[in-house]
Amino acid sequence: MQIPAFGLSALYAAFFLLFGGSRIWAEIPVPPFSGYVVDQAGMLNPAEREALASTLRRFEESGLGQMAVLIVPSLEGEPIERFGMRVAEKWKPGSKQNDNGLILLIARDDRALRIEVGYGLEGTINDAKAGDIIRQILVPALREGKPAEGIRHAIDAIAKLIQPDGTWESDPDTPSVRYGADAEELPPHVRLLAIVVFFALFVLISILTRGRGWIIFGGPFRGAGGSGSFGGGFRGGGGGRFSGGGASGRW
Amino acid sequence: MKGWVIALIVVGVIVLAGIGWAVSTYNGMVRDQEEIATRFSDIDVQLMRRADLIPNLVNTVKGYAAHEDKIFTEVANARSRLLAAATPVEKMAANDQLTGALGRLLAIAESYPALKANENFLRLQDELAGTENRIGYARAKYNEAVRSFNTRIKVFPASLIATRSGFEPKPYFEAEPAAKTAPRVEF
Repeated sequence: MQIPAFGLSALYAAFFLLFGGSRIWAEIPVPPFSGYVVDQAGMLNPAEREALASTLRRFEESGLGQMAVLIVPSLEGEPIERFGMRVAEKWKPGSKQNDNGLILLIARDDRALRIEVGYGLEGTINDAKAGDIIRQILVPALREGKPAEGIRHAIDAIAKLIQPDGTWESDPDTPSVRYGADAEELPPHVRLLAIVVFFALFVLISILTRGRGWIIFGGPFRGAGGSGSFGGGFRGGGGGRFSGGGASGRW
Repeated sequence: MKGWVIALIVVGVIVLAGIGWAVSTYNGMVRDQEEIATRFSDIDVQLMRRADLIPNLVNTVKGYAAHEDKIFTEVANARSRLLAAATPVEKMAANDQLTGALGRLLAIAESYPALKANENFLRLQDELAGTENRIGYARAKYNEAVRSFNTRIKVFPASLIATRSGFEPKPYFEAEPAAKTAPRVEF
């Protein structure tokens, strides 16, 4: 009996999120956010890691947001969606104002990967587009045993989505990604509802938190993480929020 | 005379401190309640979004597996129940039913290779999985807010304020016992 790949696994992940206490997996620790690329599984050699980190630094310096890559050996049974949120809550890549963080997660032995998209980028990189990048760029590259190339092309494809005709110098050998029609975006009335709800929340929050800081979002933000031990200029996460957007896949 | 004035000042300070404490405790409970409402509307937006994705998904599957009427009806019914649900508790129950029906729909899709390769279908699955994931996350955040509120109103002496102001513990969003079992796969 086959089980649909990540559709069902995400359903289960959502189920498990509710149970809180009754976990059936060991929680692997989230490593510190020590650099743009944290490879605990040794899938990249030092030169590749350095090159990707410098691409990601350029990504951040171009004002596209803050993207990080985390490669772990194994998830020890935890759904990648859940692990992704734990990483997002600890690392908080992206700025507090724009919530423009992104995390590419790869779990070597599970052959699972996920693009975690920050709250502020969910409109630009919707779940379907994140899935397209996973299926069309990352999965083929990982299958061919070329993780560094796949990650580089994925960063490039994401940068092109965020800045379609801006100053981002895109890599000429990045394969072009076929995205679905825009009809798959939120239907108009849902978008309207989202805007109304957002506005109402905004008003509510500003009333409730007058002079008290943003308590509504689960306590004070921890300050920026790492202290730039890796490849100069890295300042850790900027407090970006995530709500579970993005897509997962397997190779 | 002097002793009487000092005693009055001490009592006054104690009374003022007591009132101050009561007001700030009450306000804290009100804020907690608002946070719970905010968290619920986060869930609600995602539930709506989920319901909106379903007709597209069903139509795509129908293109390949038109004769699987039973599951289409089941999904459609679960979807209308979700849209008709009024209270948070009803909504969550309806959502759990929908989760079960969708699990069966996606399981059926597994036996149609052409459907599985359909890019549109894959994108819809991404959207659906993303929505599920956001619901799960929003639900966890909601439960956290409820836990904080329920603890606050039960702990003495704040419980005195809560009882007088009519604050009641809020329900957690936990899966219904029936929905806890993973969707059955039938062929």
